[in-house]
Amino acid sequence: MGTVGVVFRRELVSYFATPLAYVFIVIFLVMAGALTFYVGGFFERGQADLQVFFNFHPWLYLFLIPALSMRLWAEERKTGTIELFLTLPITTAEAVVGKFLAAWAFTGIALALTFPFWITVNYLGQPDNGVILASYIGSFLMAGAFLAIGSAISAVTKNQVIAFVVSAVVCFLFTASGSPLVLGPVTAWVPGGVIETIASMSFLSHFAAITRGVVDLRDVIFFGSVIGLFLFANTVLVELKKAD
Amino acid sequence: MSRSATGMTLAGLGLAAVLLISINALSGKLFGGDRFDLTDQHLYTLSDGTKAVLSKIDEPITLKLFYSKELGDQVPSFGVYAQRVRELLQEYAADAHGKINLELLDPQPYSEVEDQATAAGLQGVPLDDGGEQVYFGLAGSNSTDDKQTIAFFQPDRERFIEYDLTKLVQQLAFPKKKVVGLVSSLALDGDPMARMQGQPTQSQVVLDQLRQTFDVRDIGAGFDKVPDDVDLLMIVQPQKLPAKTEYAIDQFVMKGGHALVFVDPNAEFAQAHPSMFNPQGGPSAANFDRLLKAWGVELVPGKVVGDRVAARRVNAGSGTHVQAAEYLAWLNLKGDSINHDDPVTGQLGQLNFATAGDLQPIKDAKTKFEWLVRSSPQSELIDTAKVQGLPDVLGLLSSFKATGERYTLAARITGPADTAFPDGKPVEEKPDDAKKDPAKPNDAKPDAAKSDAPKFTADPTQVKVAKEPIDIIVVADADMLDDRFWVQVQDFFGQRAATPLANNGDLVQNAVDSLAGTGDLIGLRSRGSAVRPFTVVDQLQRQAEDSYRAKEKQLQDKLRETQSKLAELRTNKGADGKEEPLTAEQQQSINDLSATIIQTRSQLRQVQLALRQDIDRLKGLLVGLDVALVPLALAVLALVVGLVRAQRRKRRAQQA
Repeated sequence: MGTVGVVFRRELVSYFATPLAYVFIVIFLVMAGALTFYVGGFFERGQADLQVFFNFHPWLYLFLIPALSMRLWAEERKTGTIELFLTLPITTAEAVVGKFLAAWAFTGIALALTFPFWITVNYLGQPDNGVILASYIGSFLMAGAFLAIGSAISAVTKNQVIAFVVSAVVCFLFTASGSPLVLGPVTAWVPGGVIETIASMSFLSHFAAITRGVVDLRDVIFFGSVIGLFLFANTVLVELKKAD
Repeated sequence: MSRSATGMTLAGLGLAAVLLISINALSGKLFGGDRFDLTDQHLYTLSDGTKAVLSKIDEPITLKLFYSKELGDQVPSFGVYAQRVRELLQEYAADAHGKINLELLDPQPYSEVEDQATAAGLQGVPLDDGGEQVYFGLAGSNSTDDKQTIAFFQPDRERFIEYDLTKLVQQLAFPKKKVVGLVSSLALDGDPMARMQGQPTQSQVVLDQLRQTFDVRDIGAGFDKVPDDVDLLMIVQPQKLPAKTEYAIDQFVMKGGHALVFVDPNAEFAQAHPSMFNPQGGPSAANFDRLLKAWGVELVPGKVVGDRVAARRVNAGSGTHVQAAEYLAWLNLKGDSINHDDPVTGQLGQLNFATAGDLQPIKDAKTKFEWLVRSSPQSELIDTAKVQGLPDVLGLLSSFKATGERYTLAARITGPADTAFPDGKPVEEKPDDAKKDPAKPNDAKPDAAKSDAPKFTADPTQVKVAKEPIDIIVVADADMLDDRFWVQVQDFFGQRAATPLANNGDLVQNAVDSLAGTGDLIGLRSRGSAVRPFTVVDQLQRQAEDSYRAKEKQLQDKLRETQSKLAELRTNKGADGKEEPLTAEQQQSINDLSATIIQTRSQLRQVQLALRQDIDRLKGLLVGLDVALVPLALAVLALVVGLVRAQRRKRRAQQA
């Protein structure tokens, strides 16, 4: 884990070396706040919970996380630093995990900076803080899954724009799988078991399950396995491209 | 090499994807119940009440869960909910040690299983125009063929799912309902006169809910012995009970029977629902002192409790003019006004009372007096006369003076007690007295006076000292049973759908459950119904009203006065009845008055604006804090970091 730690630190520090980190966090915070207050009607609802706030998270991540993940590998490949990077005495897997953890920690920081909302509801009333904690855990896990997907896709292309668009589309499919919008076109010709499997991959339903206030082991395993699979894919793809 | 490597890679990725799916499919089977329940009330963990019910099942129960997979495929939120119901039922079955037979069925369209579902009374729901129906309900039966169903699991009842399931299991495990004897002067069950004449009449939701778990029987008000099969008495607003009935109630309690009593110094219910008992529909006061005293409690006569903090907002304006104000005698009680240490009220979020009275323990009583519901320290006692008819809401508000005392609105009385009839059984009244016409209460007055001083004879079977500690719950309000104060009833395709706004129904159910000894459901009932309002905003609103209400009233009075003066001047008539031309002086004062009106109006507008000002300001502040504060701080930080970096770079460049 030592080398993973080194990559992790190098990456995380490099986020804050450019304006990118600040821009990302500011946009995330402002949008989360504005959506909660003006679209979700947080104040007018008069309920001391953060349900509206968390409801917007999947949709915020849908655009913001691909923006974060698109540069993870695509940029390295474009500038050619990937060769340099991989000549270092670390394995590809270590590099992948280190980069991913840095990006995940970064989203964690962005998420933690929404703390004024938590203070606000506790000031205004008596919220169920257990539910809020569970929702934060769920949101963080979901962010990780989005990131792993984006990271793997960014390893396929040199073009960051393509990485962004494709990641957003794949993330959308995962988010909304299970909704008629995604299932509709396939229900006619795919057997029920497959449909059920697709539906069970929905980020939305797993996230919603956690935001009720229960951290179910199965939801954790789900997000964990999605992260694991896409990090594995990521490693394999980097290796493959290296061989080219 | 590259092609085979690509092939290998794709194969590897495919394998990984298969692994992902199988891990998740497997985890569904392996980790069915492993979860961390972080909610305040542990909503997703089987409660002790459920476990207690499950452990008491003797005869096996069969539960059939009908769930159409189609429904979950089309509407995923139902899929999630169905999974929760399924798992919960599996936990029930596991905890019942073989006493629960659980069957999971998927009623395909036009299948035998669908016929079963329909026969069991489940509600089919069409998914599209194709006419195929989907089902999501539960049918339960026991060895003696009693049946209970949940026709369709409504998603908005998800938070009460455990209560609904446990209630169903309990009803199957103990099919014999306990009997509640109802003694009421109020038409809780709808107007009996109207029913006799075949007119439709609707009972109160409180009774409907109670009847789901109890056999509620109206036993009238003229009995000389409580029927043997009655397990519990529910006495509502007793008025002018014959002495023999009071004696019967006294003996019922002395022999170990429990009672739930509602006594109200001013029952608005009678006004809203006139019946043959209260034909004129006037306000009524309870009349039950003799027994209450024997039990060690007293209802302060002629007074209702006014509470500044719990007061509910009503429209105090007249005609088309809407003016919201707080009515001190209509209470919305929550927080520390509800005793959270007693199982009956422990889980209740809020209660709505209307012109409720004050209960006081009697000095030197042997019984223990514990409050269940009480007012805030910002309270006073108001004469009942002031709240009858059309109360002066604003007048009450302006003359309010808190006494600092907290008045008890509901209490539990337990412990040893003696009979209210130490001299023996009251002598039977003359037959024509006993058959007094309840429709003529005026005639009844001399009777009531007579029965206040009845003669007594020794009764060898009388129990003079309670055999076991008595257990009575007294509520100093009967109006809280009235639908209009706590529940919204809607007609939903011919069914009554009741959406509670307060926990009044739960209080009654809990009290009956507790007194009848079926307390297992109590902890479950109000689970998850906690409303979490913005208390700070509520308080701001109250403060704003305190400071501006007086000013508003003053301005309104001034406006009215000026307007009437103006009207007087305009219809200026001479002694002969003819209109006289206005003098310059009069014209001038008309102009002055008009100016005053405009000015007062604008002042009034400002005051009304000021009422919301603090709340709007708070909202603005919070938006600023939540949306802008951290981003601004970050921007500053980024700027500083950038500047420092640039400086450093410059210095390095100079050094080089």
